[in-house]
Amino acid sequence: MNERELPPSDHPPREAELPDALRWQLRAMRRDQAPGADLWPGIAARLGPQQAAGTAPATAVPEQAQTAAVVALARREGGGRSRWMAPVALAAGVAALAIGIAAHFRAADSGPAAAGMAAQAGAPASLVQREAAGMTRQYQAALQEIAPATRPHGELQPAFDELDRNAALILDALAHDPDSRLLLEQLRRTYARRLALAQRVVYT
Amino acid sequence: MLTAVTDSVPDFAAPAEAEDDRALVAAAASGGVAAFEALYRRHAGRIHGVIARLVGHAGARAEDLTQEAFVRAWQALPNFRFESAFGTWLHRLAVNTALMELRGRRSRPLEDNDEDAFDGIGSADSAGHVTALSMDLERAVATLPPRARAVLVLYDVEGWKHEEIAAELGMAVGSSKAQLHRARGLLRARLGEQA
Repeated sequence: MNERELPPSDHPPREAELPDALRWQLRAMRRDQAPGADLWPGIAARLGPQQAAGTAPATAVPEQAQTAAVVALARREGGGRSRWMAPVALAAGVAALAIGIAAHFRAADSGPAAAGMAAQAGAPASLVQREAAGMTRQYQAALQEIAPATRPHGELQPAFDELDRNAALILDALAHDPDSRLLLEQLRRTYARRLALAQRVVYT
Repeated sequence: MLTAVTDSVPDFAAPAEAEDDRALVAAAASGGVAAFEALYRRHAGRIHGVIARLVGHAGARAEDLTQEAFVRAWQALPNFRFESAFGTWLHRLAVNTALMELRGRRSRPLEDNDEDAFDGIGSADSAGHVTALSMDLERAVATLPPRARAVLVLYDVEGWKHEEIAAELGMAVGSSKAQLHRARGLLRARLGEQA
């Protein structure tokens, strides 16, 4: 790649050109150089608790407990709190689900759902597929707890159907593109919307 | 004419290493300190290397910035989406960390004349490091003014493009080209002096 130079006026353009040998010598400078001392102790001392994706701080709460928190929140809010609190509860519930899903993103998972996805793809489950399988199980568990409290969907039924169809399409696409983080993110959003919609039914 | 040896920002991770990184990154992003230490062990040399080149091999300062880069990486990991190899992402984060001071210097009077700024840096840290460099070329690059050195290192050593350098340094593309021209001229002059 040749570039057009914008040299200072007091320097002729050729003055800053480099001989090929020098250019290759410069490129050869790109090499590893270990620090003079082990920097890890200093780094480790500065590591705070890890943050969940986005801005919500992650905790060390196990994912099962996070799922339970989502479900308990939905039950509590759906059962007795006044409706003006619903949006707050909904947001909190979805945020909690997001944290739980984020934890699932990082959990190695070799359960039956992951195996099923792997079999569908005809190859060992990728990290993304395992994450998707774990996310699906967590979503289903949360939804199963909420569903008995929901009334018939009525006019929202088409929205539920569309989200379910989208989730199925994304899972199918993941079987063909097992390393797609984009698809995984789309799946997460779809599940979050589906759960939020279910919670909305509870509140109404 | 210049021969094209500059390519795009390289993807530093070999496929096998990148795959290993994935599992470590996933674990570290969820709070796995041991996994993050493994990532540090794997990438420390590469990260310290680029930072040292950018700051002119100022030993303690390069190590401080390397430490800072890894702390920032820990904080940013939960939002890392594997849109590039982890090694590439970390390398860019390290460059960004090393250039923080340079970007801050934009608003100071020394903006266009950082020779004095370099003098300060050199007297603070170069006695035991810069003069100990065995290669004339490395020494010559290390003694360039900071902004000119940064552009030259990013362009001629790391293989960045002017657009990328300009964005990282918060300058116009034309300024990046002018700084490269200036750095090359100074470099040739210093190598000539040493010869």
